[in-house]
Amino acid sequence: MRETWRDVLQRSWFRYSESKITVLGLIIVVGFIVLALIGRHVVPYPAHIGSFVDFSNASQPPSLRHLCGTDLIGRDIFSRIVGAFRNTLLMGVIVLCISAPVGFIVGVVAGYHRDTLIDTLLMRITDIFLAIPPLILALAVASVLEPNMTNSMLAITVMWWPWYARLAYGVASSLRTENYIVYAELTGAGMPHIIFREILPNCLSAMLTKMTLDMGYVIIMGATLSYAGLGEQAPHPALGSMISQGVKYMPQQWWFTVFPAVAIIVIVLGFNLFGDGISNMMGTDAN
Amino acid sequence: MPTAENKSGPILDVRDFSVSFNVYGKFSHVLDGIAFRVQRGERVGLVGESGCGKTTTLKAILRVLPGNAIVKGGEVLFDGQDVSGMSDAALSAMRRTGAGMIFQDPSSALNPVFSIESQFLTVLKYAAPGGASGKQLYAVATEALSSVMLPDPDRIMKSFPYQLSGGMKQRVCIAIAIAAGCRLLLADEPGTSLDVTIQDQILRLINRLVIDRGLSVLMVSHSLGVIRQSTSRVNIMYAGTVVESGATDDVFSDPKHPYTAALMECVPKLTGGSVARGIPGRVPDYTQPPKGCRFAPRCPWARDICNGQKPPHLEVSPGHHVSCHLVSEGIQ
Amino acid sequence: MPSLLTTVLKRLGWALVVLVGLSMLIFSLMRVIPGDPARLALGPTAPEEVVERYRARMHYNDPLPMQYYWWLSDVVRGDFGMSTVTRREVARDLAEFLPATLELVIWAGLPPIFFALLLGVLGAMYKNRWPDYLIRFSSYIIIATPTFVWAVLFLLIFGYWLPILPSVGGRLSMGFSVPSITGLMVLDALLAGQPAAAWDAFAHLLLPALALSLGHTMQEARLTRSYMLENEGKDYITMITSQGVPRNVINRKYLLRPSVIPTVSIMGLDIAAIFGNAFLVETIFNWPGMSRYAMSAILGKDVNAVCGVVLVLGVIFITTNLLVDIVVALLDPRMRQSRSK
Repeated sequence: MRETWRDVLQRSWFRYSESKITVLGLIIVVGFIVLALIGRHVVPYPAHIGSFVDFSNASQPPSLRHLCGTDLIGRDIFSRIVGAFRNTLLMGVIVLCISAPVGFIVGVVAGYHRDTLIDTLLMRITDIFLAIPPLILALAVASVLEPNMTNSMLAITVMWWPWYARLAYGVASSLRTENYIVYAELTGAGMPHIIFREILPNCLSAMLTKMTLDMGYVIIMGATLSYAGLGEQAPHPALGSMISQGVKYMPQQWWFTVFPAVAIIVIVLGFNLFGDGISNMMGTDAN
Repeated sequence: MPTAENKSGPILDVRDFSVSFNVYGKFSHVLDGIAFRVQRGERVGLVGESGCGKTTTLKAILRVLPGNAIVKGGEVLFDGQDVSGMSDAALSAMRRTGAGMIFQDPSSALNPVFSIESQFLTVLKYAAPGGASGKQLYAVATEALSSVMLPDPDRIMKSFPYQLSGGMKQRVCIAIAIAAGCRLLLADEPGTSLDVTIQDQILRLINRLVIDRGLSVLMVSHSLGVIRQSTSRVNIMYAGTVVESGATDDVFSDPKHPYTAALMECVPKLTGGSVARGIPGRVPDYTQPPKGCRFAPRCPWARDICNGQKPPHLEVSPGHHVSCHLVSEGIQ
Repeated sequence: MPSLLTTVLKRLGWALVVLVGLSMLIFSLMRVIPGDPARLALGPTAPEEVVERYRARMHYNDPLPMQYYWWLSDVVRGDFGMSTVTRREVARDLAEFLPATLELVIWAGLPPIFFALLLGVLGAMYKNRWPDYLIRFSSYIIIATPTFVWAVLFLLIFGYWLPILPSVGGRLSMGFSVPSITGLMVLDALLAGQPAAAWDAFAHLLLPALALSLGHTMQEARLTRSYMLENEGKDYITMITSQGVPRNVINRKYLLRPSVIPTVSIMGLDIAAIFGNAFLVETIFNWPGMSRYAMSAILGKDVNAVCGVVLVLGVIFITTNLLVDIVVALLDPRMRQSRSK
């Protein structure tokens, strides 16, 4: 009755693909990641991703030469959308890879010291961060600092870690009184051992599931900051800022706005479906 | 209350009943042609290891199986009527006043966000034949609570499940099941989630109520002691099949099936002898059950025929049935 | 219900702690901003001695904890100081801009809950049949669409192609005048007995509120659906079913309530997110709320105004959560006892 790796993989895939639509999510996510990694080299007009001007070709509607048309100064919009993918992906990955460990440490340390001053202090600080409407916290941080990609990532991280702190705290504080943790402690295991060897493995699948589910929201948040002018600055392309600049030319030059918007929707949809599939696979409740 | 049309026959007759579950696209064949009866006023036991399909059997009787369950064949007759063929009205009538179920874990069997009063009165409202007034229903409920030895029924009625202990919740569940006027009590390992003294109290309570009210009982348990104490007939289940059945005393004193014999061995005896042996191996994978006898992979005396063919159903002495190739061939 | 009262009091005390913490956070954030706050407040042309006098009057020379103390004692009295952008008192600015934002958030936050629960219940009842597929499919698309994209889309559709609803230009059409009672325009118009004005105000609200609420509504609907389906398999539902209580009674009462509690309890957080997104939606729809004020305060490093905005939002958020907690406690008896997570 021992399960081989093949059995595990087969069952994981079955659970993942149980609702067929999550397979679509996987395809979108893989396609997006590939484009984010190599897209800059395969787009029809790589030079258009940076500062490039061609007034003779300005504001062309979509055609075979320019799939998504050209912008106000003649750059190929399709190339710029694909060019923006790398930062979009980077935004999601970096924000989650910083906020998840930070939140984990805060939550797990508080949970380990359950019902002590450290618990109260850490979790109250977490609650204070949760008490500020997320976008406003991000706007405040981003505005105090220079508006650029790095700082907008920092701003989103500042509002994101408390969620992971809550998650880790929940697991840690419920495991704290479990016998095997108490025994480990009695046999002389220190806090780092208990946190990383006993509690972390129990949190991991919930944390990873939450990370895949959060990816789409982080991307939306990044696009929103970029829409507000606090993300990647010109001449580098960003999906949010492309929309905010395009809105002024609606509805005549609709392609300025519509294609970046569709790109965001498809990417976020892909990650949300992917996250649903992963949480089906892990058997953890998505919400 | 509707009276049974078929007074003479058994109150419950399960015939060659099979149920499969769709688990992640694979079919898990949990019940494989089980058959047993409960006569009126009889107390019948259903024994087996965890995961052998006992709870599935109970749920099938009340037609409350989860959505991924598929009845593959056979029938469950309640008062002579096939449960799967019942109209909605007949089914409700059967559930209201025919059969009542006591769940294994009392803390999950009561809705956490409604008071006992709300849940109890709702059940009674639909179980009562005419429109009884709220006051009357309340009186019925408090009386039932007193009859299960719960002090201060008024306070219990106002309580929410989280305010009651496990034993109290189990008693409330029993009160709800009997107050509606059931004739067949389905008890799913009552009290096993509670500590031993409480479990004992609950069992005594059930036995007393059953005798006082002349109920029929189907008691599911993995504990032989419980079954011996409170039943007159017993069915031994293994992996979704009934392997042996008969009067409790016969089966306990003279087990015929190797599995039953092994089960008896597992019970530590106070009267010395060797330490309990346990049964090596485990319940088979239901998605690919053994072709022949389901116990064959674990049976120390298994022979070729056991792996290849389903065992025949034999009557070894009046009322004592067993399904085993070894018995049919006169070995053992 | 004395236990409910204790819960509320406990939560209130806790809310105060969060507010003090929030004010500390904001205060330190402000002090991180490079530059001399006195010079920023008075402008580059003010003579040095005036700046020095201002600095002394605002206690800018004191150590930081003392500065915080002075600042907080003003804030408690409702004095957030002067805005360097509008050159008016921040409290007055807030009183002027807050009601419009509040009205928008209330309309985007409250009525959609009803639709969310309805869609969630429908989805669960028709699991894997066409109404469920329709709701699920549209919820995927709607959730994946950023709020600002909805706002832009509505602007395009109703501003240019199908101008049946007012999409740009404030809360009320020309020609109406509604006395300010609560600051919430639709309510004020009704109180003043002007149904036509109330309808007009509602029409102005509709698009921005819809843009704000779509994502949350579908999110809440999904949550409700999944909790309905999860609870359907619980023993307590099997128990009451096996006692012969009709399916529709069980669904309507015994399945619905435990399934909506988790949805209701995250509503406080949803309101916070709606506030955040309202800032962008207001800009897009030209809604005369706090967004432009806050944006110009943020970009102009108008410290007092930013603090005022964030603190007021914090108070609103904490109040909302308190209300949500009370509603949850009314729905879920377990929450009345104690609340230690």
